[in-house]
Amino acid sequence: KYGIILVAVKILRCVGLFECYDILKSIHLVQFLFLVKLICSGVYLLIHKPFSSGRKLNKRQWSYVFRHSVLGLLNNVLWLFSLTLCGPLRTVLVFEHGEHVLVSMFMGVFAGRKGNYAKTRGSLLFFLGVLCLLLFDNDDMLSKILSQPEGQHTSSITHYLSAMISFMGVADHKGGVLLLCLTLLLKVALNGYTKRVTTHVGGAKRLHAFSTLISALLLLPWASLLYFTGYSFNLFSNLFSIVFIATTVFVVEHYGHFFVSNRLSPMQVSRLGYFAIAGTAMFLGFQWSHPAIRVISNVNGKMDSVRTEEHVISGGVIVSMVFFILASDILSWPQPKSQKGSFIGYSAEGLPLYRFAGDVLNRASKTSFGTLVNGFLRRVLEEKDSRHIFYFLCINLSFAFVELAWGAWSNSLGLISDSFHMLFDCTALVLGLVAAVMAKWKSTRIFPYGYGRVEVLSGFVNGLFLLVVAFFLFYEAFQRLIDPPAINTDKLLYVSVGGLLVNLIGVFVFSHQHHHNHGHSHGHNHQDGHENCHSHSHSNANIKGVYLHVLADLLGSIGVIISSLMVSKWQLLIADPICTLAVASLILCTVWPLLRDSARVLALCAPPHLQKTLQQALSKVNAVEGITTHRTCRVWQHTEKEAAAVVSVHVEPHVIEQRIISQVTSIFKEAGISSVTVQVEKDDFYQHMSGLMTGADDMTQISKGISLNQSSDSEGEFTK
Amino acid sequence: MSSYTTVSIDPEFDFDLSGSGLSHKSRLTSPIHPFKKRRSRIYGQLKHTVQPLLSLRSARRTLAFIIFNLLIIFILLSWCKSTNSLALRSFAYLTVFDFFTLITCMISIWSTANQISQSEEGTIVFNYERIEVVSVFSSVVLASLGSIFILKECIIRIIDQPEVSIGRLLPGLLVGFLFHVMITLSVNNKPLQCITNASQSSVLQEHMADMSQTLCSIIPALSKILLPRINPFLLTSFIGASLIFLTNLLIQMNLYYFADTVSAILISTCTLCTMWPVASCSARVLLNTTPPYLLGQLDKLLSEAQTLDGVLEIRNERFYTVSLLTMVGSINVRVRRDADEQMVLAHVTHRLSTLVSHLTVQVSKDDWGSVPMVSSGVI
Repeated sequence: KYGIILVAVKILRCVGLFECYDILKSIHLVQFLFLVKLICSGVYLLIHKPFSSGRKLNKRQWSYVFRHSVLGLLNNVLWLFSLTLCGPLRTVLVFEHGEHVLVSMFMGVFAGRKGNYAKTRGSLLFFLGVLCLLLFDNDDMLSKILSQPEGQHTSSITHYLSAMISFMGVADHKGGVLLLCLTLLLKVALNGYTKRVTTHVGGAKRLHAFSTLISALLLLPWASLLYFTGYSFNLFSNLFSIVFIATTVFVVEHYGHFFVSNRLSPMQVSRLGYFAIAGTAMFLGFQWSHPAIRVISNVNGKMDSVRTEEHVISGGVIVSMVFFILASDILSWPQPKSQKGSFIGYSAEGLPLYRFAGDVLNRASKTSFGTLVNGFLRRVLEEKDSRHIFYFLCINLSFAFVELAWGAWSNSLGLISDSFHMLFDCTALVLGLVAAVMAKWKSTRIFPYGYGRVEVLSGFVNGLFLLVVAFFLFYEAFQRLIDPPAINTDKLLYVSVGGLLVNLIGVFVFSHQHHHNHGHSHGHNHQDGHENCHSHSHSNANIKGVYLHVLADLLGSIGVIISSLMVSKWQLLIADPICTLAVASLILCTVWPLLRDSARVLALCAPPHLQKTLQQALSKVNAVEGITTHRTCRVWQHTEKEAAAVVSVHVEPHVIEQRIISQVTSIFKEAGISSVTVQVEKDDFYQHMSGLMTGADDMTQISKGISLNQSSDSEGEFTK
Repeated sequence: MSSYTTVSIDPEFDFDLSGSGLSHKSRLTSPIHPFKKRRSRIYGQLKHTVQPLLSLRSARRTLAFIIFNLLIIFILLSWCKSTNSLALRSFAYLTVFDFFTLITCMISIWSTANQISQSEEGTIVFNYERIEVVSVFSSVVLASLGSIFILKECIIRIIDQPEVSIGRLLPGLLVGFLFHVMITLSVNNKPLQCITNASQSSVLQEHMADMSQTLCSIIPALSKILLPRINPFLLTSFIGASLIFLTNLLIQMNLYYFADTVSAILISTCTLCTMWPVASCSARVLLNTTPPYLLGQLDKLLSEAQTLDGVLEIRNERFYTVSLLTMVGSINVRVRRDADEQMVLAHVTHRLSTLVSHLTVQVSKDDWGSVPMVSSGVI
C-alpha cells in the first residue's frame, strides 16, 4: 500500500523532471531555481511554521542551517545544469539512486572488507552503467555543441562549467554524466551532513524549511540582477509549469518520501523508488512530446523548430539502464551481518575459535603509508643489490616519463607507446626489487628456511617474462616478414639512442655485481660444463634476471637503431623484421640458462656443481666406522648459494649415535652443504616401528627399499 | 596416505632427469619457443625417453590433443590478425594456456612412467612431483604475462582505436570456447587439478558462488553443479565468450569499435584474477613453505611428540610440501641423557607419519661424550 504511494510520488517527480528540462530551455537556470525555491519555502513555511513553533535558533544553529543550505544549493545548481546538458532520462538514470544504495556502494568500494562480494559486484555494475553512458551512447551532440552559440551559456557559473567540460573534450551530455557523478558524491555528503545537523536544529522538517528559505534568499540578488540585465521572461505564461515542477519535484517528493520511509525499510524505499522512476523515465523517454516547449514557443510567437530529436534513447542508454537497475537491486539487498570472523586458534576442547569484531582492531593497527614507504626505502638502501636495482629503476622511470611527456606534447603515438613499453619493463625491475628486499627477511613458521627462495622464484618469473617478450617479437616479426609495413623513422632514432644509453648504464651496474670478472660474458652460458659451475657459484638468480632484462632492452634498442638506419638509408623494409628476429633469438639464448638453473633449484634438484663432491661425500659416509649403509640421502639447493641435505643412515647396533651424527655432519659441511639433518637408525628402530604401526609388513618392505605397491597404485590411478 | 616411503638415491641421477625434463618440455613447446640447439644435442636421449611414453594410451591421447591444440592456436591467431581484434586475441591466449596445461599433463604422465621404471631399480625421487608443480607454475605465469601484454596494448588502443572487422569474431569465439571446454573437461590433468583445488578461490569464483547461492535457494536442483565452486578456467572462458559476443553485438549495431578494447581489458583482467590464486598457491609450494592450513595440526602433533618420555625439546622443525600431497620435514629432537634414542625416533616418526610422509629426525643429546653409553638393547 505504501509502495503504491511511493511509486505514484516517483512517477510525478519523473514527469516534473521532464517538464523541468523543457522549461529550462527558456528560463535561466538561476532564476528558475529561485522561483522554485521561493514556492517551496512558501509551502514549507505555511505547513510547518518553523518560526512560531519550537525554540528559537541561536547563532550556532543558524550557521549550521546556513551551511546546509549552501551545500544543498550547490547540489541543486549542479544537478539542474547537468540536466540541461544531458537530458532528463540520463539524469534520472544516474542521479535518482537512493542514498542507502550509494552508501553501500561506497562501502563496497572503499571499505573493502572481505565477504561483501555482492556490494563489490553492485558497484562494478554501476561503474559499467556509467561507462556505457559515456562510451556507447551516440547522442551525436558533438556537432550541436560546436554550432551552438556561446551566448546560451551566459551566467558566469554555467559559462565556466561548460568551458571546463568542453576543455575536457567530451560531448556535452557526457560532460553532464560526469557532472552528475560528482553531484552524486555531493548528495551523499549532503545527506550525511543533514543527519548530523538535524538533531541540533530540531527535526528534519524544520531544517528543510529553513534551509530552503535561506537558499531562496541567497538566490534572490543573483536572480534579480539577471532579471534586470536582460533576462526578463514572461513570468505568467510559465507560472503554471513552474508551480507544477515545484510541487512535484520538490514538495510532493519530499513529503512522500518522508511518509513512506517511516513505514518501509530504507532499502526497500531505495529499490522501489528507483525502479519506479527509471521505468517512468524510460516510458516518457519514448513518449514525451514536449508540451511545455510548444506552449512557450507559441506564447513567444517564435515558431522555431522544436528540437525534439535531442537526447533520444539509444542502445547504450538501454544497456546502461539495465546495468543501473541491476546495480540498484544488488546494492539494496539487505546485507547479511558479517559471517566471517577471523580465526584465532583452538579452544581447550579443540574447537576452532573465531573473532568477529575485527574491524575496529584492524583499523587501529594499520600503520600510516608514509612510515611504510620510509621503512621500505631504508631497507632497500641497506643492501647493495637492491640499492642498485632501485637507482636503475629511478633512472628508467624518469626516462619513461620524459618520453611520455614529450610524446604527449608532440602528439606522437610512437613515443607514447614506447614509453608505455618502458613502464612495462619497469615492472620486472620492481619485481626484482621486491624480491631482493624480501629475501632478507627472517624465517617464520610458514617459511621455515627463510625467504631466500623468493629471489630464485623472481629470477624464474623474470625469465618467463623474457620468454614471453621473445615470443611476441617472433610473432610480430613473422607478421612483418610476410608483409613489411612502412615505418616512419623520425624520432625513433633519438628515442632508441636514449634507451640505449639508459640500458648501458644498467648493464654496467649489474654486470659489476653479477660477474666479478668480466671475462665471463653471457654468450657462453648455454654450454654446460665447468664454466657454468663457476658462474653459478657467484650469481644470484634475481640479479641475473634483472640483468638479462636490461640486456634484452639494450639489444632491442640496438636492433631499432640498426634497422631504422637501414630503412632510412637504403629503404630496406625487410631489415626491420630481420633485426627483430635476431634480437628475439639472442634474448632466447641468454634467458635459457637462467630459466634452466632456476627451474632446477625450484624443482629441488641436487646442485650440479656439487655432483662430484657429493659422490665423494657419500662414499666417505659409507666408510665411516659403524655405518652399514645410507638409506636416504636427499640433497637440494635451497637458494643458489645454500644447499641442504637430509641423510638417514643405518648403523650397527653398538655404535654411539651422537658420534655418527657429528661425523656425517662434518663430512657434508666439508662438501659445502650448510644445513644437514642426520637420522641414525638401528635395527631396533624397525622393530619399534613395526610394533607401532599396524601395517608391519609395509615397514619391512620399505626398509629393504622396495616400494612397488605404492608406485603401482599411482600408476593405476593415473591411467584410468 | 602413503606410508613411510623412502628413497635411496644417487643425486646424479636426479640432476640428469630434471635436465631432460626441461628439455623435454622445450621440445614440445618448440613451435612457439624454438630451442633448436638443445634439441639436436640431446636428440638421442629424447628418443630414449619418448619411445616408452608413446606406448601409454593416455600419453598418446594427450599428444593428439596437443597437436590438435596447435592447429587451433594457429587458426585463432591468424583470425586475430585478420579481424584485428584484441578481445579475440586475449581469448585465444586461453587456448595457449590450454596448450601449456596439456604439456603439464604430458610431463606428469612422463614422470609417473619414469617413477615406475626407476622404482624397480630401487630408487624413487620425489623431484618428479616438483617438476609438475614447476610446470604448472610456469604455465600459469605465462598465461598471466600474456594477458598483461594485452593490457599494455589496450593502453595504446585507447589512444588510437583502429577498426575491427567482426566477420570472424563469432567463429573464433565458438572454436575457442568449445575447445577450451573440451580440454578442461576431458583431460585428466592431475597436477593442475590438485593445485586448483588447493588454491584459494579467485575473485570471480567468489562472486559466482555468492550469486549461485541465491540462485540455488530458488532452484535447489542447480546446487549440484554450481555450489561448492566452479572450475575457474571454465568460468573465465565463459565470461570471455559472453564478453566477445557482446562486443560483436555492439560493433554490429553501431560500430562501437571501442567496445573491443574494453572487452579485451575485461577478459585479461578476468584471466589475471583466475590465474593469481593458482600462481600464488604453486609459488608457495615452490618456495618450500609450510602450508598455513596445516600449521594447527602440526602444532598439535608436535606438542604430542614433546610429551613423549625422554624428549626435552623439539627444535628446527622445518616442514614443507614437495607437491601438494606429500609433505616433507626434518626436526631436531633433544633428549635426556638416559633416553633410548631409537625408541624416541620411532615414536616421533610414528606420531608425525599421519601428516608428514618423509620425515627425518635428528636425535641429539647434550655432552654425549662424557656419558657412558646407554645400552641399546633395553626397550
